[in-house]
Amino acid sequence: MLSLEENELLCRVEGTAPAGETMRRYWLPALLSQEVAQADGTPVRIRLVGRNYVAFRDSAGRLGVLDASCPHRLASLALGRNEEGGLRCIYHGWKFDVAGRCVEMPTEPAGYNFADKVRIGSYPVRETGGIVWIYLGPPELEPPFPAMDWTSLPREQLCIIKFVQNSNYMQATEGAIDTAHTWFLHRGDVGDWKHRMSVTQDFSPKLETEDTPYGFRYASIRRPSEDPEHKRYVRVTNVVYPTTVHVPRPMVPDLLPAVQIFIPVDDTHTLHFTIFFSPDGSPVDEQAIREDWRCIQGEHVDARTFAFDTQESNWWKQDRVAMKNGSYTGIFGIPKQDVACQESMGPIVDRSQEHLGTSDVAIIRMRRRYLQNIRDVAAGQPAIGTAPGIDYAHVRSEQRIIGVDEPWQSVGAFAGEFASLKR
Amino acid sequence: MLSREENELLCRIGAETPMGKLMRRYWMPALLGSELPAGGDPKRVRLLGEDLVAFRDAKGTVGLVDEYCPHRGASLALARVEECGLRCLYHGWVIAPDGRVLETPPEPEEMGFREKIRARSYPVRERGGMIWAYMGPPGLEPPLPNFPFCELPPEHVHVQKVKVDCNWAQVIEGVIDSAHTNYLHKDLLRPPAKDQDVSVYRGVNIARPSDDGQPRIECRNTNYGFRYAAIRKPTVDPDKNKYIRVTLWIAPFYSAFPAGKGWANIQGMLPIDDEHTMFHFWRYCFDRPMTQQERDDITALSGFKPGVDIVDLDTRQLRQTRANNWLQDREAMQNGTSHSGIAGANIQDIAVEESMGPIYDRSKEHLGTSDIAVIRMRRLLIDSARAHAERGETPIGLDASAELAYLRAEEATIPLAEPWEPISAYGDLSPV
Repeated sequence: MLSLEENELLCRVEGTAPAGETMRRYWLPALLSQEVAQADGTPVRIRLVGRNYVAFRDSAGRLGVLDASCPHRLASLALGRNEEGGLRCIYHGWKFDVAGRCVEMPTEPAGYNFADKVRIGSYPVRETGGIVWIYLGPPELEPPFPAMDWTSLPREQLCIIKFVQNSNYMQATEGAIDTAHTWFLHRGDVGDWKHRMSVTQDFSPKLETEDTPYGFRYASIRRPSEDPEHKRYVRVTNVVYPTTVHVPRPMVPDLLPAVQIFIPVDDTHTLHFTIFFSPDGSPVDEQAIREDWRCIQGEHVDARTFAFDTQESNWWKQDRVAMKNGSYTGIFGIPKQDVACQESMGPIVDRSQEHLGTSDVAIIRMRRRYLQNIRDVAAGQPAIGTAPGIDYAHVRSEQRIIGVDEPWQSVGAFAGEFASLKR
Repeated sequence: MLSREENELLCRIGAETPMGKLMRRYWMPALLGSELPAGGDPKRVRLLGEDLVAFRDAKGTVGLVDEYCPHRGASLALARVEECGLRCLYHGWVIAPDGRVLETPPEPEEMGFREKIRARSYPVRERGGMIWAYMGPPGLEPPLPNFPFCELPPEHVHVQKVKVDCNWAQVIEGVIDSAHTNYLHKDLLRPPAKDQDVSVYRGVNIARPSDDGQPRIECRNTNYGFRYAAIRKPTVDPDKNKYIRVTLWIAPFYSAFPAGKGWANIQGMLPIDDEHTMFHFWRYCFDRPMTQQERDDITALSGFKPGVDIVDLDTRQLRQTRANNWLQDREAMQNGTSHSGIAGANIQDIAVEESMGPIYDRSKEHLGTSDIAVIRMRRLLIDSARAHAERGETPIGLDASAELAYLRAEEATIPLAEPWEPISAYGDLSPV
């Protein structure tokens, strides 16, 4: 439970809201490389953290991200012509290069040098394995790029699912650090369901949390069916700030590890990425995952807007007949189950109305840490995880059965490293 | 005309407003019983600005609870209906019809967490084909409304329900406004054919023995609200007789106007929220089941054909909206085939009511003598809301002596010298 004031502080990102300013201190995944693959191709609209941008690849293949509005009279440059080394506004022909310089201003007399005095906001860009990342914050505060294990992999070793959901980013993020719900909402649908059921019948996990230099991690601890007196089943989830969640790697062979990222589009929309990756070099069958997840581009996910076909207006296509015939939710595809629940709460859930239990401990602690980070950044402190020297490549979420005396921190990344801080 | 302050007081029905508090003292016709069949799906219901979900559990008990799970706020309209309640999809919490939390599977049971939580829930009762909900302070429930149709078999009753995109008060004002019928519904009202007995009725009654567009309005306060007579010159013998139509306003948002002999009707304007209203039209035949032809005639007259005009039977959304100018046909208006250019008597009403805006500003209007009933209703409601909020007085119409089963709204042509008051007389607060 949060006060209404804290809820607003946590959720609102538009304008100069503190959570938005904090979000802009990080490298954010913004679009897929395939959306801007073509030199001189169609410019792409990006709405991120409540502001509008345009991405384009110029004639030389350089990628640029600019403010969406032409500085002249604010027409959208996403309407513009992408040609001859820049983006030309269709209104009066002003033209900008990837660095934001105005390279042509045909409506003004040449002698005025007005073009030299006008710049448009341009933003640093990075591409890793099919994803375009941008940094939208103050240039002097640009952090090192968080090179995680999966960001170094080529596109063939990744399955990247992108969609936009109609709710605040925090509702989406909370869903990813909420292990308890996967036993209900995704009952039978998660890939390792049979394995989970063989390991434990404990639906009521005990949660323990820990702050880390890159963000946060928590363990869900369950009694295993076998030898519960001496063993415990631990699943550790890492959150790389701001909102990259490393899901515990499956114990079942053939199932891929995954990360999920939740970036605010604005106060009431969220850009979702789920990235499955193959650390051992084997190729990933993206189409099979998309079919299983009901995320086929053009069928379940709109090819341009990345909106789902399942929306509140069609009640997320919940099939009540299927529910009577054995489907638990009547909603097909794991992310669609999550999105239905999260969107059904309303665009920004009122956290002053909720009732949190022990299975929500990770969410409670995570909100506290987010709020602290937002307040610290507003007070001039650096954002969590933006300091140099953090070994992002080492962050790993795992699950294992361990002895009751063994600390849960021994599972996954940085084994033992933070345990020493705790003891 | 009302001051802006009084207009707000009249219209807004949120839980903290005087009118919202008043409304919550009455039983609300939350759903048609048929919307919640045994073994059916949970249904979202927005009532008085509150998002709720209604369901019938496997035992047949009807529940009306907060739409959002008390845990983390996922909609319970997505939930599974189980034997004893609704099971939230998200974490498996089970909410009973009375709001108790029966299960919180991810929580250790021994901690007693669930016993400390209760979902908001409201008492419900079924009567007359409706599911009634009481959203007010516990212990102050009035008796269930016993409108005449409540005691009739369902074959005698026809009910229509559509969503109107404006405040409830301007919708009910449209019903207690006899004068508008001569203008807005001009196409539909006809003088009786030669030798036609206007009391013979087939569910719709559009024959009137008068075309007088300047009715005189007289009101009398009653124990259920008030009633008024619209007094018109009849077409025949206007110097000897007067044509009387008695209309009832039944607190807080019902009205009955004359139907044919053996028939009656009631309209109800349930506030969904400040800017949306669920319009109900119950028509019923006392002494026999209605025929299919009669039902079809009613549907055609209203303009509420399911699947055609009512495009969504779940939300009761009409096809005719502000966005398409209520499908007004200007060509028909120009060539004289239609006065309003809008098809369907009730669609015509809804079009003008919605056209006033989501909450009509009564500080700008100009009322005449034909608006006396509208003025009376506003006064009674505003006074009652204030007396209830400030002094805890019993809301208007909840007087224990008001027996709604006796209510009739009738029409008659009587000699000029006779008083109109004996027509449909019941419940007058002062003797004639």
